[in-house]
Amino acid sequence: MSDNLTMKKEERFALILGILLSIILITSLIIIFKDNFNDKSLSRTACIYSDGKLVKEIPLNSQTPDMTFTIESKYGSNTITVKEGAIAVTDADCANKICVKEGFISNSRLPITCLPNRLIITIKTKDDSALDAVTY
Amino acid sequence: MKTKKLTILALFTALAFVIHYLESMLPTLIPIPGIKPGLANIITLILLYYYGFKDSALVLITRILLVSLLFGQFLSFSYSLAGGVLCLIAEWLLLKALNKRFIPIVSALGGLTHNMAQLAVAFALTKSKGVFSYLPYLAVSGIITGAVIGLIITFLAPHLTVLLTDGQTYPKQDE
Repeated sequence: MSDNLTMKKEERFALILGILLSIILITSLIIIFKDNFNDKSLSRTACIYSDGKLVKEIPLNSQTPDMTFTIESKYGSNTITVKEGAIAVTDADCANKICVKEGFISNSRLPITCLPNRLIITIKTKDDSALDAVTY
Repeated sequence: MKTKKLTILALFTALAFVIHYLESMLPTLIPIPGIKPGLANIITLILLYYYGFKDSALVLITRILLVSLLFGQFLSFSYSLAGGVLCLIAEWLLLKALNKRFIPIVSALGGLTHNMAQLAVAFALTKSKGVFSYLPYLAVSGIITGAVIGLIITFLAPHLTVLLTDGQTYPKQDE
């Protein structure tokens, strides 16, 4: 039996790994919950990437007209809908349809991703509040 | 290869295959690509624990090949293989350094490695930095599912020892 005072080398290694895992876990959780994308002073743009290339940029705000269009690539097609300042993939020919299940996003840090069709929609934000402060 | 071992490896390949397939039929609870229980890794880790790297790798690759050929597309093959193999290598190295009591830690790090490898494949395929916003989500899910799998194996170990090693308590004691 190992002495309580002298920790075995293995146990120390396990402890270090355990601490490392906890740190990664806690940091990740902090990043997930400290999502400041709800800030109203930010202007948002949806960027649609197909196969690594930017194919469309749509500003997302209350003035954005509703629209539906289809992005085609050699991997497949996705139907994208913009409605009331939010964007979603509403139809796709991929197998798992995770992109459709992700629903409408307007202020999310997470992009909509369709891996089978190599499609990614990210929300880019720009801080307008700084400018507003200067131009009063 | 002894007949008993051959039989057990074949049985475990079938088991891993069925687990993998059944899991793919479950509804997606969290709509984030890459987040799933990964229960088939229980088999990979059990074989690594009792038989070693080569046999475990054999069963893992056979399972991924079978699932991809029968139900999947090339895409799921590249993800599963990259994640599975890197996870196996990480767990193998950790098991060499750590006592078997620490299986949940080994498994949690394996799960983390698995998801990071899949993220790297996703980046290679989409060529978009956007996929890295999934990193914290995938890290959390990899660690949690890995730890759960490790706990499952801890509870299964007493029963498996009898099945896999003719009842010796610590099969790889001589190493």
